Amino acid sequence: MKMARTLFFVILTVIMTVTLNTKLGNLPPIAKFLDPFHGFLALTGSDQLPTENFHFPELSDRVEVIWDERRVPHIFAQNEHDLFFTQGYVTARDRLWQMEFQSMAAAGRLSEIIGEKALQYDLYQRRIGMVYAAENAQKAADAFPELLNLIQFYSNGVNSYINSLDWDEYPVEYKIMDYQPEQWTPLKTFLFLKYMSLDLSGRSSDLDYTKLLSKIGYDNLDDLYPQFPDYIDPVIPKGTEWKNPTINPIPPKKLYQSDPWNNSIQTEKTERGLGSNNWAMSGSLTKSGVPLLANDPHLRLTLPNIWYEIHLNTPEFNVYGASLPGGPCVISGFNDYIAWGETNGNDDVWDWYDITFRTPEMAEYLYDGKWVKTTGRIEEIKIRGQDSFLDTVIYTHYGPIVWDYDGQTRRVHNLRSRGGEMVSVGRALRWLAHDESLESLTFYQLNKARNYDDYVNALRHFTCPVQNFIYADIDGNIAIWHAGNTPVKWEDQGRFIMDGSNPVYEWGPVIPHAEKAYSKNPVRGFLSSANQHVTDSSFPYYLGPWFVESYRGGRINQKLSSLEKAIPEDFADIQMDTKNTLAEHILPHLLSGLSDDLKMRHSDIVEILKSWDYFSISESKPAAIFDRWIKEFETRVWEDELGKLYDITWPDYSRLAQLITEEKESPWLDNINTEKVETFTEIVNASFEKSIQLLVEKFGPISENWNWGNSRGTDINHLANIPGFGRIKLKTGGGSFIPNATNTTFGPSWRFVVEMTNPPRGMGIYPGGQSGFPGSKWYDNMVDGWVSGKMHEFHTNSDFNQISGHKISFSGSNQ
Amino acid sequence: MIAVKRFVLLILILSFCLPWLPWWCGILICAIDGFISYCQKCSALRGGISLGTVWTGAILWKYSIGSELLMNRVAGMMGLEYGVYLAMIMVLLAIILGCLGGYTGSQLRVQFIQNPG
Repeated sequence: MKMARTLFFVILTVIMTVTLNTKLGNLPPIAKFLDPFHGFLALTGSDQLPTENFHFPELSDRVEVIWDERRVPHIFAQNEHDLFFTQGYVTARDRLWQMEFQSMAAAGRLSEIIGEKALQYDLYQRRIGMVYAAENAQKAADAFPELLNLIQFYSNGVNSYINSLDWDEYPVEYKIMDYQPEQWTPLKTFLFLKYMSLDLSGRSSDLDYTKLLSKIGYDNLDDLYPQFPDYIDPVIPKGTEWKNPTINPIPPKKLYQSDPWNNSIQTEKTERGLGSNNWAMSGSLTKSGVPLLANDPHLRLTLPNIWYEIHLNTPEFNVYGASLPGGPCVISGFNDYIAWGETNGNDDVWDWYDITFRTPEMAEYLYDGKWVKTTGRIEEIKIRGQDSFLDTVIYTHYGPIVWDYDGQTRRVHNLRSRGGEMVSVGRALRWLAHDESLESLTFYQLNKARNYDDYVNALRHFTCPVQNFIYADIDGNIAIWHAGNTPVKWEDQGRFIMDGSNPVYEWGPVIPHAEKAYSKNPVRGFLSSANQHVTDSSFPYYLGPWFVESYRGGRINQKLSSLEKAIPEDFADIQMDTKNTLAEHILPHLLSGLSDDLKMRHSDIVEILKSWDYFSISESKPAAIFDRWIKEFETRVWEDELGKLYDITWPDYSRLAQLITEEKESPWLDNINTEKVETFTEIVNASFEKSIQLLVEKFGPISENWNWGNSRGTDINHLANIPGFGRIKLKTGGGSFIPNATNTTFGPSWRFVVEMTNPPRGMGIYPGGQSGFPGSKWYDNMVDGWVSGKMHEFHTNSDFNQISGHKISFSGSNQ
Repeated sequence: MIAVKRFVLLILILSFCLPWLPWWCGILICAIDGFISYCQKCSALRGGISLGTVWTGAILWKYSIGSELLMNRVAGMMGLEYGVYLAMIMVLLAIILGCLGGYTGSQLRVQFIQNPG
């Protein structure tokens, strides 16, 4: 009996020890994690800046690093080798886990960390060829040793930091997920850049349009989804004259029509309302007489933030701005001569081809009347605690076959505003990001650029995602280039799923650099972009079927036009502008359709809407009511003819606005599922009543709960969605079609304004903090300021003695 | 008095060793203490209180040098409202582990030394 008792306690102790030392499901290894000596508490104070100078044999000269009051590192090096080494080290010091997690997510390796539940995600990343794309980028960089070297220096810096750590010092996410960092490589930098390409160009509405083509016909499709709607305010001012195109693609005699209805596979489709803003104003319209430039890229908001603010200085250049943790250089910022910033271009560079295979083994496929061999790439997906999953991805000359059997991968990302789409089997992906590309060379050259010609030359190397690069310089120039290797296409090419056996559907060569859309020093004195149409329909090349509606861009242009003697603060105000011009356009029409009965029953709400100034500030109730109402209205208009929102992309709000303001008798307003013919006013009333009912159900009787900042608000979740590590329920204003394009989980990920004095001066903010450590006060210290529209002045002096802060020297082998 | 001295000694040993050793060494040390003790209940009690005391000390030390924010965030991750609740859970865990170690050690003594064969 005593023996049994002893055995019981020994076994219990061993089991408890093993269990508490092992990661189970979502839980970290409990005792290992909670151990105050080596668990998460071991990280207390790990965000403190170093107090001793560093010595690295990899450095050839002395490097000075100063962390300012917002913990922005200012790196002063004597050469680029040392500069980028130190950038890698310093960035990893603050953001190591983020860098590695994002590169692993890009490569489809999350199953290694979190187990089988990430398998579908990883499969998708492998199937769309993320690693293949990164390898091609690295291949392209091989021809530019200068570029590859600087990425290698950066990697060496990251690895120096990683190698200095032991388990106690690993960032807390490693302890929670119980794994260790691995060595950084240049391929991971390229992977991260491809991750950005995926985020910004890895969606399309090809399948939706293909479905609609067979369902409602081409004319109706064009009516509902016009490629050049009546109201556009393009990036390149209307009236710009274009050279005759040097390449003229030949369309097919008859458009191929794919059968889109035969499966249940889903992927992401074009995200509406997502985007970014940038603009520049010539010195003739500014108070200081020098150009001003602003940029706020809108991305998924996370903690740690996607950006990392940094100041890089060598005797050759002095650049400040937002870098991407995981890659060298500044991505959006300014140096002593020029400033630049990006918005997404939205060109269609993600297309699908139906592939006819000779046999189910997919060894050959039909192309131009011949059987062409495929290649296979075996992807090993390691799964934590299980055997690896092996997947053979078939490659055609277009790119990978993403799906080869029905139901292979489910929708892999969370539904957003206009969710997933269905894609059928045997379909190859043609994606510009798979091409050999040199985006990092563009940023390297922009960091060092001294004038307009340098800027234009740097953009030659930019491939994907296509971006609008705004520009201003100290010589007084402003410009914008729509940069990227958009292929030459005939009109409608890539709008629908294409025939992979017919060479006519092949992408053409890249639009020649000199023929890309751009504008320099326009007569109106300013340039802007907000992801809307790049040009009007006079541009000789076809860029794609869809661009963001011009509400946001139009409002920015309206504000810029009204400025006299603009100052940087005016630009910051525009970034925070919350005027909802869509509501301004249609709300009076909706209100005029309300019945007397409803007006009487909901007089308070009607009064609120009537007195709205159309600014969607955090405290606005009408913003919330309008948002609900327009969504209910749109559902009643489109769902009967087109299907549910998540099955098909509905037409843009600008088309809906046209029905509301000009086509109240349109047959699209009728519900085809009823015998009765519904009228505009009936839909207005039914949708109004329903929206009020929903708001009351969700938020109770009208109160502060209805305020836009409460009912919509913004959540900045942790990058890996770890509860408690994010900042949620932020009372934000703005919205999708508004200059301050803050949404529930998306928004301005970085705002900055630069005045091109000599040297330039700038200010900015991003929703996060420089440290990636959740126990640091620098983790989210800028979030509240970001919500309220605060900006911080940048310290960009090229003399490190003029920058105050915490100073440390990094010495090298020669010291 | 002897009992107090053993408490103090165990706390000192744990305080000296645990910063350098993995967490489960705390159980091992408590088990060794139990193994050389004559009283089973005392072993469990001493193990629990000693490990709990050492972890409490470590937590308080970390608090004093700025771990409050981290504690609160990790508490949030675990669905707890305040970091202090997490601290209490940590201390409780240490007490349970120490008790278990001490008692298991004393059981082994009973099995192999007091009643060999």
